[in-house]
Amino acid sequence: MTARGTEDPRAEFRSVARYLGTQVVSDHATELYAGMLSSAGETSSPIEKTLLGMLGRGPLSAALADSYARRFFPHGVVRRRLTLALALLESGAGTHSSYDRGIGASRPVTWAALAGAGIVWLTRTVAAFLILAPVHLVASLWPRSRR
Amino acid sequence: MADFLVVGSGASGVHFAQSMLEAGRTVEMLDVGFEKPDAVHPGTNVLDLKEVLTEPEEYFLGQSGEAVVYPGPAAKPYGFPPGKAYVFRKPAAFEVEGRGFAPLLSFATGGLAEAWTGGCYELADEELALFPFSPSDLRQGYRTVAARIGIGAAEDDLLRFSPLTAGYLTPLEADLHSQELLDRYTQKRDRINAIGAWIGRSRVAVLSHDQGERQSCTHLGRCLLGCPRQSLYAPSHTLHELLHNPLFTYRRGVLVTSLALENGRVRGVVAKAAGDNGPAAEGEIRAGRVVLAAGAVASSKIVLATRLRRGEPHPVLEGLMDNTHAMIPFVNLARVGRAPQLAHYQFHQLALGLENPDWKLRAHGQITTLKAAATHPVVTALPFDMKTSLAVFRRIRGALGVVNLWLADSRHPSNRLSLDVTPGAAGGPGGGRLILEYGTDSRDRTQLETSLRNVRAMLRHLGCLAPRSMTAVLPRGSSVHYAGTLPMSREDREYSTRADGSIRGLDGACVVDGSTFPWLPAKNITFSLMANAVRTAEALSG
Repeated sequence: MTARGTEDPRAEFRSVARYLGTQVVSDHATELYAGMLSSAGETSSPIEKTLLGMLGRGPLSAALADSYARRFFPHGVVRRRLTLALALLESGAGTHSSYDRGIGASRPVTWAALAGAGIVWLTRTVAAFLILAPVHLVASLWPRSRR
Repeated sequence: MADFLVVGSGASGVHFAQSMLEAGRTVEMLDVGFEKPDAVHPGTNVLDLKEVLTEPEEYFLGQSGEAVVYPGPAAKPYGFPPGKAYVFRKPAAFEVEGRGFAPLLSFATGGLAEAWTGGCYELADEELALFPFSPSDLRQGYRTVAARIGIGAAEDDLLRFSPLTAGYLTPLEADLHSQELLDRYTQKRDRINAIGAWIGRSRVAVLSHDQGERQSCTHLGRCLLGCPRQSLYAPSHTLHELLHNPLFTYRRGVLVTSLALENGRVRGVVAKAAGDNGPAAEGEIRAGRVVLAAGAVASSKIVLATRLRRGEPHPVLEGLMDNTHAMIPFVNLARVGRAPQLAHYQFHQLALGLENPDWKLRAHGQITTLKAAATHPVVTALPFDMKTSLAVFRRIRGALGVVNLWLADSRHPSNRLSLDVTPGAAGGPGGGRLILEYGTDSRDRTQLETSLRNVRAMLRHLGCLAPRSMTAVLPRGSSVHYAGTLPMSREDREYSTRADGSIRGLDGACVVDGSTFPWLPAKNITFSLMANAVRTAEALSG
């Protein structure tokens, strides 16, 4: 991993896209993601670097990193890279319809879907906390122990 | 040498020029004039655009992702597309620093109204009490401008806040969500009126039938990108018409730095090339009379630089005004799960007024239901991880909306403009860096809290949920309605303006933009600026 996070931004984009619901992304969008990464900023925080590394390791890993970052680094580089990926996916010819259109359904189906999303969110958030809070703790102690 | 030299091609400048040309006078217009890009695929709606463009990502986000709205404490739930970057581009020679004030300036052809949402509201008679002319004088200006640009309006409950004395078009058909909110308001009118809120159709400068080269709105959903049919009025449309007039000259690429004086009288302007490639030599352009229409901030800078040239060491203009601006997102619970109407007129179709026994404290708002828009700024603002936020967003998209609320402002000496003239400050010999100071203001906090509470109560009556945590009071300067630095006044005070726009202390110069407003009402003033420019032109042309 480099100071900017992952070594392969293209793999990171493909992983994040799968997490956000797109299985196949175009080479053009992938190159744009790599080219635009600098606009999403950088980090020197060890825990954020760890979370950045997780973005490229598949959708489940990206989900945990996102859940944790949403709570502890809502405006940090992890969320910013996810935002960039979403912006590209919602603008792309083959991918936009999964993002820029709503889903119409009956009221019971909609409320059930929202409840389901809430349960998944809660589960993911708890799992992210259980897995990543110790890592966060160690990472925050690490510079002190080195001193 | 032209009879009138107009500085700026914004809403005020083009309508002043048009009226002068109609009166047979010659007009030369000086403008930095950054140009808008050509519209692509003009007949295609916003969703299909992503399929027909060869590089849609670059079109919507920019070559380097400059239109991506990243999460942050001041992030708005929308972003301007790269195609609108020209509106906010600033020449390097124009340096400005805000202190407690984040100014949004435009040097584009057509000015800031190239990125407006078209709200047009006549001021009520009592709101014109501080102006040194009769309300009926402005009514003629409203009639002229309404005929030129086309404004849709309905006779409804907003009449108590804003009269309809000009000729108006039938408003566009409302989108389903807006119509449902209006229907619910009709059912619950008494309860909503009891909290001081009234709702009606927005009055918008958008065509419901063809007018000249401009075509009626066909709901492409491309208002924010720049309407390719020119249905939504922009001052550049008027400028385009003026270019055909032999009495009119337009000079693009010129940055006016100060007024040119001769024997104490204004004889023209000092200007230089507006290019970004280093300093350019200044030169004088002469005219019978100079008319400042560059917007309150840029016109004020020209006046300050002129005073500096005249020997005043630290010139100041007081009384800068700007509407307090809050955004109140809401979810219409009855529409959760309903499919959104994406390709439709994109901006607000409903407006609201908040009554107050003191008419100066009335608030004004516009209700925008979410239609076509960038998804990521909204999704990242939701309080969940990205995937959950997306799932929730897609289910509730057709139920989302936002109330933009504005409060009036009045002039205070601590809110002021000055020039940083320390050696090395940018700006060249015509002046230095412009400093805008807006003091911390507690005076309207109570009114803001009351207004927000009333809007939330109104939304509850409409069946909408407006989470308090998502309400945002935007930084000062966000309303883009700047005014008050060269106020019209009946009193003979230096650097105030007379009813004909002439500046006391600067004979030969007039101003027709927002800097002349002696107070700032809550409602969008662009229509009043245009009407006042027409009124001023009629006063000056005799």
